[in-house]
Amino acid sequence: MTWVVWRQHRQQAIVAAAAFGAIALFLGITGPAMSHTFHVSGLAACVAQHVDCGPLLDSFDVKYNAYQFLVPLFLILPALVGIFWGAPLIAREFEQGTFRFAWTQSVSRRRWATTKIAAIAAGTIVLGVAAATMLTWWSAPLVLSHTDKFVPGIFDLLGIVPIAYALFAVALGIAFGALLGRVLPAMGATAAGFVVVRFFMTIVVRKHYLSPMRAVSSGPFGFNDAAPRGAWVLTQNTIDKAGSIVSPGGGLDFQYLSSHCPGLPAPGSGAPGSARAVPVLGKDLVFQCTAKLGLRTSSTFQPLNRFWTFQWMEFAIYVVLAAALLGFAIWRVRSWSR
Amino acid sequence: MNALEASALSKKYRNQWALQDCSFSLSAGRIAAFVGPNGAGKTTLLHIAVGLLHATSGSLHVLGGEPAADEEMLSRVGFVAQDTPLYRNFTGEDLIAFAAHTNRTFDTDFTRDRLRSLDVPLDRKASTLSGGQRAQVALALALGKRPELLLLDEPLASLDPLARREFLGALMEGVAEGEVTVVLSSHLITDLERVCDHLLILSNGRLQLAGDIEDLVDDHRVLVGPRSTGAKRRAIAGVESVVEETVIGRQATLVVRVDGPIVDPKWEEYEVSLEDLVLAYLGRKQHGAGADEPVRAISAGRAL
Amino acid sequence: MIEFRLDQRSGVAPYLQLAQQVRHSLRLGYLRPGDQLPRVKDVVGSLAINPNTVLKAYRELEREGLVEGRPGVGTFVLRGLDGPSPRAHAALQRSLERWLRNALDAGLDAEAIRGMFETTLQDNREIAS
Repeated sequence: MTWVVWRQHRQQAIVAAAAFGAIALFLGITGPAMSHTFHVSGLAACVAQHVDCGPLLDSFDVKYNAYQFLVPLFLILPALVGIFWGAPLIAREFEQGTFRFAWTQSVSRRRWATTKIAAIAAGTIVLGVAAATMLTWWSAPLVLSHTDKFVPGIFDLLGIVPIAYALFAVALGIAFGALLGRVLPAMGATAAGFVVVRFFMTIVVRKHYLSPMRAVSSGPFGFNDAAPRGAWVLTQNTIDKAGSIVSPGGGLDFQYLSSHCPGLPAPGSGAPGSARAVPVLGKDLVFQCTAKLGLRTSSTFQPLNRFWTFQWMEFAIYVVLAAALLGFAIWRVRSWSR
Repeated sequence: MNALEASALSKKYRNQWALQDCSFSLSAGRIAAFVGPNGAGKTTLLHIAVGLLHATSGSLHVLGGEPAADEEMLSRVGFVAQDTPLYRNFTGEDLIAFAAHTNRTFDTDFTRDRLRSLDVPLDRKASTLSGGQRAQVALALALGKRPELLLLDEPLASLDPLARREFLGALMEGVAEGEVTVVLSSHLITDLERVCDHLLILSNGRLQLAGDIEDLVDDHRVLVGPRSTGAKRRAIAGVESVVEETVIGRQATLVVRVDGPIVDPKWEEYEVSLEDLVLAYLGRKQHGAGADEPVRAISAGRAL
Repeated sequence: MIEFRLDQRSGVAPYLQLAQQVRHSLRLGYLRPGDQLPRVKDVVGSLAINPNTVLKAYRELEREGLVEGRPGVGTFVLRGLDGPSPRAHAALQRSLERWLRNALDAGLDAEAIRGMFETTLQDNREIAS
């Protein structure tokens, strides 16, 4: 039966291997160069000291900022596996009627389905592990220099979650294929389903895996230590001495400032809360006012040391979803009656 | 143990009954013609026999067990679906390997030799083969499994007369040695006449007739005589039931089932041909033949 | 060797036709004692008929003592049938053709010829056997 699965899907496997090879080639060519620059320019050392690396970072960014456009592409890769490997797996046999040939040899439906699914899942995991490893290695300089690895979008490209996304996408594809029985509708449904679930999980659910922590900045507005370095900041507000929110989303409300600090010019000389307005008014005057009012920044966040916990939790959730979908697909195959 | 045993077998799709109350037994070793118009339910019944469909009620026992009960049962039944579905981009060799990997016992050499002797190229993709060649491949694969029961759904439908002849020849050769029960469904009885010794007629989801062809032909006659003047035909001695009645002018032609000798001199008696038997049973309405049946010429067999 | 043919329209049961053809070949000497009859497999493969038909024909011939079936090997001719030699056969064929031409010239149609033949055959059968 394993020969059968290989023979049926070898073309897909070869195409996937070729595509993967192309990506690996790209990463392999650009990665070392980027890493080299990262170290030789002194940016690596600077970043390790947790200080502001302004000019070094700027020149690094100038060279490599374009790579941020690759991020959406890498996010889509798992979906492609689901669409092109998962959706046709069972749907094509239903659509072309070949299941009437396959299910009347001497293999039970259950063995047929589980062998096919297991083979594709194994292939996906292998591909996923290889891709995740490569991506993590390649993006290290970018991630280290920007300390935003916990941010949605970057979190999704690092660690082990890409493997789980790929597995989930394939399971979704297989399930839709088994449900709809036609390849193109299954592909479309898989694409849409993947986007919806990923979006929902990333934007709505992820922040709640563990209760967010709260912190208030140690000093008046301007001290950027409300949240520790590398944390995933969920909300940020400017609060007054009593703790009530003065400017939701952080920043400064100049209306509020000028009404509480006589001597400050009325707003209109710049957009309220915008940093650019400050130089116009005189940074010192504003600073005096905020200190007098006791304004601080309060934030809720997930600290960086929870990065791996979150990775494992998200990995587990997607794997459980995948398992449920595959279970559904097998049930559907066994109860197919046409 | 009968190869197939149906008991009140019924299948409903949404609101329509595809099979209603079918009961019959098919003894092992028979080569059965399963005849009926399109939509009669033949494919439905065959699909139930191989486990692709589940019956709504009643039962169908295959080689003494439930259809596709386990892999053991699957290995004893060979099946070729309508339109011979094969993997389009598999070559003949690939398909043989597929069958070898998905069947417990598969005679690879037999299958390969067979196809070679039929001049079917094994190195070309299935989609490039002709309809006749695909049918031969599907048949060879089913026979290579060495099944006890072989079910073929409309195997001749898309074949030209020569291909049909070659297919039937290959089929007969394949089952000549060993007790294999074969069921061939078709809507053409003429091709199957020389090959089959058992007949099953299905129409509108109901089984109209079942039995060994020799017995059925012996039990039926064509009678030619005067048309009935009354509203209902009076019973004729020796006739158990009238299957079909056709009236032309003052003459009536009947296809009847007999239970005794026909002694009434008004009636000329002829042997019934298999084709006429099938057409008579397919043509009759549910509540007996009506006087408004379309006129159909009956080619009488030998006069008796 | 013998090549079987089947005439579906003749009204004669297939197995009888096969048996007749074997007897015909025996009479003409095309089949001799010791010759093997075609295997069932090969006959059904080329004629596309039910194997039982061939088996029935061979059993009929076996009952007449003309052939013998050896399990696992095949069916073999036991004895020949007396009949005209090929030359005598050809001569009979020629005289039949002459008669037919006369009959057709005289105005008899195929139907009438067949009828005349059947009746004459019936009448003379007793004399022949």
